[in-house]
Amino acid sequence: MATVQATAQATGARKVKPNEQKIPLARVLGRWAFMWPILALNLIVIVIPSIAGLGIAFTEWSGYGQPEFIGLANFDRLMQDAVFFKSLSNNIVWTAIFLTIPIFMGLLGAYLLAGIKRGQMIFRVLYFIPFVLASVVNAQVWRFLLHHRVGIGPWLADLGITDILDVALFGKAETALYTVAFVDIWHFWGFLVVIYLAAMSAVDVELYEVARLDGASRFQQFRYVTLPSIRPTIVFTLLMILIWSATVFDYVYILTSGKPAHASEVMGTYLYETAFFRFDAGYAGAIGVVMTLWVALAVGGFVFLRRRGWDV
Amino acid sequence: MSDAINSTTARASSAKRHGKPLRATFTSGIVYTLLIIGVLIVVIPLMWAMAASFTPNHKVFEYAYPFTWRALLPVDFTMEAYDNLFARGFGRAIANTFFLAIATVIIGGAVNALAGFAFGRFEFRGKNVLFLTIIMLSFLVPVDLTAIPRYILVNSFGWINTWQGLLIPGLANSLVIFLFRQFFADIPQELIDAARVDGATWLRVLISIILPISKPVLVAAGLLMFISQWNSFFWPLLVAPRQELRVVQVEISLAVGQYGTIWNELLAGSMIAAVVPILLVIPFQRYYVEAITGTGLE
Repeated sequence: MATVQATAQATGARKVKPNEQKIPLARVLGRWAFMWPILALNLIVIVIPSIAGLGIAFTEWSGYGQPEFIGLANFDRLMQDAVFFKSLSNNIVWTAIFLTIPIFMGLLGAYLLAGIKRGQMIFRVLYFIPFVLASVVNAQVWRFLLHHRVGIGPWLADLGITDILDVALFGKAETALYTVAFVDIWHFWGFLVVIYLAAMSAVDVELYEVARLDGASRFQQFRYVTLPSIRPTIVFTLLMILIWSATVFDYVYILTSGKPAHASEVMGTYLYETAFFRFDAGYAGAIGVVMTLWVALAVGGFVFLRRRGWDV
Repeated sequence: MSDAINSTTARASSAKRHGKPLRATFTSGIVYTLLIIGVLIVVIPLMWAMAASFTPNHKVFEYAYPFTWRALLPVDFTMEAYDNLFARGFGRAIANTFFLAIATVIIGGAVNALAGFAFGRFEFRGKNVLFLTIIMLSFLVPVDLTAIPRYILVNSFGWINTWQGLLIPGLANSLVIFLFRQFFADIPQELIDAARVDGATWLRVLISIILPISKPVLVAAGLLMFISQWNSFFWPLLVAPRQELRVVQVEISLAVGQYGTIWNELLAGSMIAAVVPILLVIPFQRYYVEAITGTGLE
């Protein structure tokens, strides 16, 4: 007891003392010693590449030798680049798909799970599994299942259901992007279930009691108690999806690489192809700037609305 | 806490069941049916792929077209695909990936924990700006974009096709720094002061006082770093294409183009790559979920 008091006094005393100037230099450096490994790393991994990445957008550069400053010329070129606009519009389609379907599936899954007592944990683990698997793994599994000769398609064809899955879905211009999105949703929705379930578990039970006393149906309880209570979580996931949809890369790259004829091209794959296959790093940088702007707008809009007093 | 709430909800619904037994049973029947459909959507694709990985390659086609139930269970059980895979050096890739992931957890864990501690406990000029800069840059600027200069930087160090090139850029992890910062900031000041009054250095405080009570955050951070390194594909493909340095994910993705598509081998590789995160997540899912929900959803 005495020790606790002494400690509390010591803390109090330390807080009152204007001690920032009095700390000896060695101690200041000591505190920074905790930081320098991460600072050095961040410099190499994040800070320098970020600034350089944005900077090369204003240059003509192959990735080797000296970059040549060309102002906004890369952006002029972007404005006339049909492939870029195709990728941009694919990113927008992707965003629309991911802002709706997985959110619905996630809410439904979490709502159903929140209402059961038996086996909730097992369901949660199972739903979460695709999310922790590598994109390469999930992509290969679905490349196999959706292959027109070995997977689900031939089975359906055998049952007489033809021309739906027994075609090369990843290879057709009309279906490639949506098929990739399907695989990515299969991998992603369990993550939303888990996040929403955690949020729903934190909702005050009394709110439901009150709603029930008022004669609210199950759906009304969901609509007027659950949804408003977990709104911050939903808004947060919407923001994450908005960010991830701008930068989506891995599933598209692994499954189609933007083919056929750029039908499933997104900005991420176009950037990669431009930088590492066509050695046009400056132009790739300009694509990256557009992606960064998208992300900055999403985050900025979120912060702005919050500052304006929106309860998001 | 969530358990308490669930049991309350459960109690409420069982009370309801006594009132209207038929309707409640019907409802819970629908709920479980839907939930099980969800499980099938997750599990069947993985089972199908696993069965194919234990099937001779020519039979993979035979059973699927026309479909028989044999496609879901490996009846002509064979290790052929796995044997071929290991004969081609897949074991090396597994060892490489384990080494890389464990090194990332140990070194990255230490580095990120130190930074998280400094951000969580120390007051120094520019701390918040620094923290915001690191977090914002790593979340705002797309990885695809930073990969170009990062590649060039790593190349200029002569680190292409080296362990350093594979390892070092994966060490700093903003999410993990964030996680550590939250956790360390919540530790009661008294605990630290007591030791500081006794003249312990900060490093000593960190090792003998903080570390023993940090199990949840250490497990969560370790899991996040291990799984993300185990699953990483893009950077290793870019920076270390040399055969001796290939990781599991790169080996699998290259197998597609290199050998035509030998389905059973491709899927065997995928199953090996899948087993590790699954085995980690089943026992530790709670930590993993708490880490993700705790960081983003403040």
